[in-house]
Formats: sequence, structure tokens, C-alpha cells
Amino acid sequence: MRAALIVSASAAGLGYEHKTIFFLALGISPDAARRVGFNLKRPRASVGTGDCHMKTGAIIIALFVLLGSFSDAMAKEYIDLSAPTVKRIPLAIGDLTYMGAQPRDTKEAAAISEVKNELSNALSGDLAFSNLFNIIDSRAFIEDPSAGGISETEMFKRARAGGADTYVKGGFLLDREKLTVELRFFDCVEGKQILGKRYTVSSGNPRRLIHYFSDQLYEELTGKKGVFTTKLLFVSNRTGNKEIYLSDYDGRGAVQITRNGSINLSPQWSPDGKKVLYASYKKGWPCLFILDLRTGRDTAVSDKKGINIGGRFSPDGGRLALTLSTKKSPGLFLLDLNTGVYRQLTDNYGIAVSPAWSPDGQRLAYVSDSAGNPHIFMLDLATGETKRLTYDGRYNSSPAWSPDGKTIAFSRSDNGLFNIWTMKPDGSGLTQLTFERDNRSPSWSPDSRYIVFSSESHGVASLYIMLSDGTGLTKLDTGRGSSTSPAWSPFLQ
Amino acid sequence: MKRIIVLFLPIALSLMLAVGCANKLLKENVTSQTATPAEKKSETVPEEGPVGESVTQRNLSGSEVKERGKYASVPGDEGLTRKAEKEGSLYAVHFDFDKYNIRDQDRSVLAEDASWLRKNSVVKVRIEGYCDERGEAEYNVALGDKRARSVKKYLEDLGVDGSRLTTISYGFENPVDKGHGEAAWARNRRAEFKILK
Repeated sequence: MRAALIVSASAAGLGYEHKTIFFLALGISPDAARRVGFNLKRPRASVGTGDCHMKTGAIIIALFVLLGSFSDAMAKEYIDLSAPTVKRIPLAIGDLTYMGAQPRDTKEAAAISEVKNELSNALSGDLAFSNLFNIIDSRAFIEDPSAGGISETEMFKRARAGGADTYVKGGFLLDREKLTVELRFFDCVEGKQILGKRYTVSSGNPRRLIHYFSDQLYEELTGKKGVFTTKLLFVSNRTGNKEIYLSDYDGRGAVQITRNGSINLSPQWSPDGKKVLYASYKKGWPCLFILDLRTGRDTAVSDKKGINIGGRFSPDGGRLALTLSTKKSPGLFLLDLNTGVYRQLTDNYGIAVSPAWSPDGQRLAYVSDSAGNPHIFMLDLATGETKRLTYDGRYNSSPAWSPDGKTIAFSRSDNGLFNIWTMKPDGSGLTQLTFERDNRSPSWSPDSRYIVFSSESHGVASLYIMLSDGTGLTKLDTGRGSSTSPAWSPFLQ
Repeated sequence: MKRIIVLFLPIALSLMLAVGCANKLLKENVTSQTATPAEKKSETVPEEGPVGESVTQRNLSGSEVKERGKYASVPGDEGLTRKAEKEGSLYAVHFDFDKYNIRDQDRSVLAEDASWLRKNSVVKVRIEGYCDERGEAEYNVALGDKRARSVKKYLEDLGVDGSRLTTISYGFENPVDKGHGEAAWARNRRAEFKILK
């Protein structure tokens, strides 16, 4: 039983500090976890061989070859994400080969097979999710597993013949509790290795290792940080009541982080990614709590009479915007976390909820029914001025400001079913992104490239991710029950 | 929690009956617990009936209690609260989508509720605001809060002491109808009462 719990905690793929809480939550001390062989270490990224990093000059050449771009001779990135249309590179994903000796027994063979499946599944998932590649299923024509190895030249030749300009391959070694994986990404046109890495992690954690590699590959190709090691918070009712869960960005490896048997709502990240702010009825009425993911310490931060909901950390982490109903109506307040002093922001008869900070901390987008039905407004914190942003739609809700400050995502309904929309912070540029099911609670990836949201059909809600233009829709596998109110973490690496 | 109480009550009842002096014990109990000046005139414990009734007595005053409010003060037991509703004590009211004003057809219901509350003058009541499943969790918690407060204000205007009324919002949690159509939504957009003591 203990071993099983540890595996599930390790599957969350957290760093050492973050893991501690889960062991504590499960009643296992980190020491005990170590004793049963859990490796509480960050993955070590070590350069495999001397040819791992291609020189910048070669990247530039490859850029011309792959994208046929002649516009920017100084471009550092392999793939220019700011281009109007990002051309997908044809990619072949090779088989991950086992580099160790023949398994001694069927148990060992099964363990190897399971790790291989996890690695392969995570790798193809990450590469597809990146939306950088056109993935070609071409294992057969590149490598014949039965016939020893082939030369790199031959491999590049076969890949190109099969239509793949790039190729990723790897191998792994399982040694007791230690998993070693080598991964290489090739430019088959230039005949060069772009990235080669060898990693070692605990064997319980293959997915995290792949996400780590995917981050590095993404950055190598685009010059931008990858989101593959980021996390999601969400609410699930899988235990019969709504508790908060923490998962990988792809919804996998979900770990329950509240266990109070009450109703828990709208989790949010602290800007440093170390704390979780959430609303809970565990004291009997909706109050706000902060859970420290490193220490497991859970503190009530706002438990005023009435409702305490919709808390959001300011970008500097020093304040919370929140909704209180201590007066006659639910209105917006600022809470200074150092002094504990509240400052009232709105004073309407109606409702003001769901504040979203601008990345510079100067403004709050929020929802108010002061116009008769729910619309999105903007409050300038310095002047106290409010401006109405939406005029259409029967019900506009849950604004989410993209981390780059350029776009606000929100949910809108005309007839009862909600869809995700985006607009500029001045209310212009309205764009509908979803058209099917009932879609709510958008949250941005830290690179502002993706939006995660909950989508409900026949009473069951799942999490979906799409690119910020509405394409690339992917359903996440978060496990049983309804998953709602996702919150995407900041960069954690 | 509810389950514990439901399980506990019959057990407690049978234990008391078993010792054969339930009424006497309860009566003493009641007297000793009603020391506050406002509750001096504690009621005689009825001969028979659910154990909830006996517990009730220490919290109620006035001769009309037996008529309409005899189950009123059972802490947190939904079954008995429902029974109290059924017997004409406290009725839930409903709301239009995204609205928190009291509808015309619910004014007579709240007048009844107010009348019962004035008679059972020591009963404390929690008004719970609920919404249908549409929209965002946070907005609905705020909306449920407004609904509960509307009812509280309305009862206060009808002469009920506001200090006896607390409010809570559950947003779209705990629907009475788990369906997904307009009929279910209409039932779920409500403010209902839980008798605290």
C-alpha cells in the first residue's frame, strides 16, 4: 500500500520540495520515502556526448532549409512562433530502445515494458502538444529493430525518403530504482543532431523526465521556454465532494492536495508557484486559504462573515484581490498579506467577483452585474476608475488576463451554454474560440500560447487545452469524475 | 455529519426508552439547560414522539410552539427540518435565472415564514442561497449570497429580528434536482431554511 502511494506521488513529477507535502499528506515522511527507494532528487540533466549542442551557425542554416525563410538572417530560433503561420516540421518519432541486458525474468520484462510505454506516451504527447510538428508514423522505414543498428547517414536518408525532415530517437536503461534515458533530436536535412541529452531520475518518474526534455527541445527550437514541466490545479469531485488536485500540464499524474471532505473551489497559484490559494467551506462557510506546497501548511487568509471567494494573488504576491460580502453585497476588496488590512474597491448594490490582475498589477478585470446582467469591467487601481468592456452576451464571466498582457480570455453565454472568447484589454478584438459543449473557466499557460478550460457535456466536465487562437484542441486525461476550474501554473523551472 | 446524526438519534432514543424514565430525565435536562432569563418558561416534554421534540423544547417559548414549531430546533437534521416545512413552518422560495429579487408569488410564502418565525421567537434560522448549474462557481456563490440576503431583508421588513437570521451561499452546489433542463434549474434556484436551534 505504501509503495503504491509513493508511486502515485512520484507520478506527479514534482521537485524535491514540492514532493515533501505529498509524502506528508499521505502520512509518509520524506525519510521513509527514501527508505523504500524513492529517489527525492531533481532529474540531472547531463550532456550525453560531445556532439549534443549544435552551433548557432548551423541552427541558422537549418532554419533556412526547414522553413524556407529568407527574411531574417539574424534569427536565432529554429521555429519563429511570431510568424503569422507557424509551419509544422515533419517529424518521425523513433522507437525507444532498451539499452540494458536481457531481462532476467518476466517481472523485470514487464517493468521495462511499462516504463517504455510511459516514456513513449509522454514523448509523443508532448511533441504533438507543442504544435510544432507534423508527426509521421514512420518507425518501420527508419529502423528495423531486428537488424542491429544502422548508420546515421542511412537513418537520415530513410527519414527523408519517408517525408520526415526531423527525427527523434532514444534509449533507456532501468537499474533498480534508477531510470536513465538518452534522447536525441536530429535534423535529417542537414544531417545533424540538434539536441542530445542523457537524464537520470527515479524509476517511478518517467513522464517528468520526458517533460524536462521537451522543455529543452522546445527552447532549442523556438528560443522560448516550454510549458511541459508546468502544472495544473483543478477541482474534481471524484471522491464524492469537490477537492483540489495538482497534475502535470497534460492532466496526468493528478494528486489530491485538499482532503477536508467539504466543498473546495477555484484554486489559484501564487506567482512563485509555491502556494495554492483556494476557497473552501471547511469552516462552515466560504473562506479563503493558502496551502504551502513545500511545507503542507494550510492557513486561513480571509474568513470574514459572509462570503470570502474569488481570491487572486497580485503579480508581486503581496496582495490578494477577493470578493467579500461583509457589507450588504458581494464586492471586491484588496487584502494586504503583510498587514492583513482590507481595502474596499467596489461599492455597488450588485455583485462584483472574479478579479483578474493585469500582469503589471495596475488594473483588475472583473465581473459585475451592475449593468443588469453579468459583464466584464476594468478597474484602474490607481484612479479607481471603472470601464465596461463587454456589451454583448447574456452572461460574461471569469476573465483571465494572458501573462503577456495582450489578451483577456473569458466565458460568455447567450442561451445557457457557455463558450470561451478572447478580447483585447480595451474590449476590442472579440473572438469566439469554442463552439461545442459548455465551456468555462479559461486559464492561460505561462507563455500565453495556450488556454486550459473546463468543458462539460451530459453533466460531466473535462479539462481541455487549446492554442490561444482556438486551434489544437486537446482533451486532457485527468482521471475519474468531473474536472473543473483549472489554473495553469507559472513557469516552475 | 448528517448521517451521524440520523444514526445517532434512534440509538439515543432507544437507550433512553430502555432505562424507562426518558421523560423524567429529559424534563430535568431541559430545565437545567434553560437558565437564561428569556427561556424560563420551558415547555413540558411531550409524552411521546420523536426524541427531536424533547430537544426542541429548551429553545422555544410561547404556548403556540406546540402547534407549528415543535420540530423546529433540532440541530441540522434535514429530515426533521423538512417535516417542519411540511407542517407549515418554513417554506423555500425560488428565483428567476440570474436574479435575486423576491418574486411576487413568493411574497405570501415569506409572510407565512415570517409569521412562524415571530411565533417561534427563540429559533435561529440559517437562510441558504442556491443557484442552478449554469455559469461560473464564483459568480454563483455571490448570486446565492444575494438571494439569501434578499430573503433575510424581506423577513426583517416583516418584523423578524435579524439577529436570529444568518445567511450562507452554496452557489450551484447541492442541487435538489440533479437534472439539466429548465425544470431542474428552476427548482435549484432557491433560498431554503435550516433551523439551527
